[in-house]
Amino acid sequence: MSHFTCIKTKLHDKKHLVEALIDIGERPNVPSDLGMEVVELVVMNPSHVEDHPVVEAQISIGADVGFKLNEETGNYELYADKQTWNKKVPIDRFINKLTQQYALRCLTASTREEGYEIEEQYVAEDGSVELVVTRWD
Amino acid sequence: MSQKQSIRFRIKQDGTVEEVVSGVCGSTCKTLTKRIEEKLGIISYSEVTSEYYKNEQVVETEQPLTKWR
Repeated sequence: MSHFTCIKTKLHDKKHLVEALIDIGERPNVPSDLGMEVVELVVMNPSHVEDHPVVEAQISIGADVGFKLNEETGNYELYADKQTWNKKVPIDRFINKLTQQYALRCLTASTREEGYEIEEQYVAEDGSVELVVTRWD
Repeated sequence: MSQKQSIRFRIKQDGTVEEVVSGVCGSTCKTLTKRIEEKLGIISYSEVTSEYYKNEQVVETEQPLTKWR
């Protein structure tokens, strides 16, 4: 072993975020594909901010769930209506599931760019995803 | 002679990632994964393990013995 690192995943890359949403069974709508920059979400009882009933989002899932880029952090944040949230899992679990899938997408792409190949990939008993990549130098 | 480099990731259910790098010694190890880590997020913890120092010269300084009265 040479080093051990813990990384807190940030939803930074739009492409991987859209891919991850599809992976977890959502049908994301990206306004740029429709010739628009943003879509307007009607969020009456928002999970993220309390005083913005209408949110301009860069990625949407339906009319009241979407992701907006935080210009300061460079990361996408979930905006959703707490009262009309009708997914099978609660908001927190949804975000965790999405972030896990996003991390897998992000790592698969970035390690491939660095010349690594996937040697092993499986879901462990505790629900975490194990990914082993290798390359020869 | 070529050397096998391996990175093991554990992507936990909350999306945090644990990474273990093996087969690389010294500071190369850190630069190797820096780009991958930066694309993913923010490093919250990092620990260097024994192999890191394997091929690097360690200079030991002599410690004077403590004298007891």
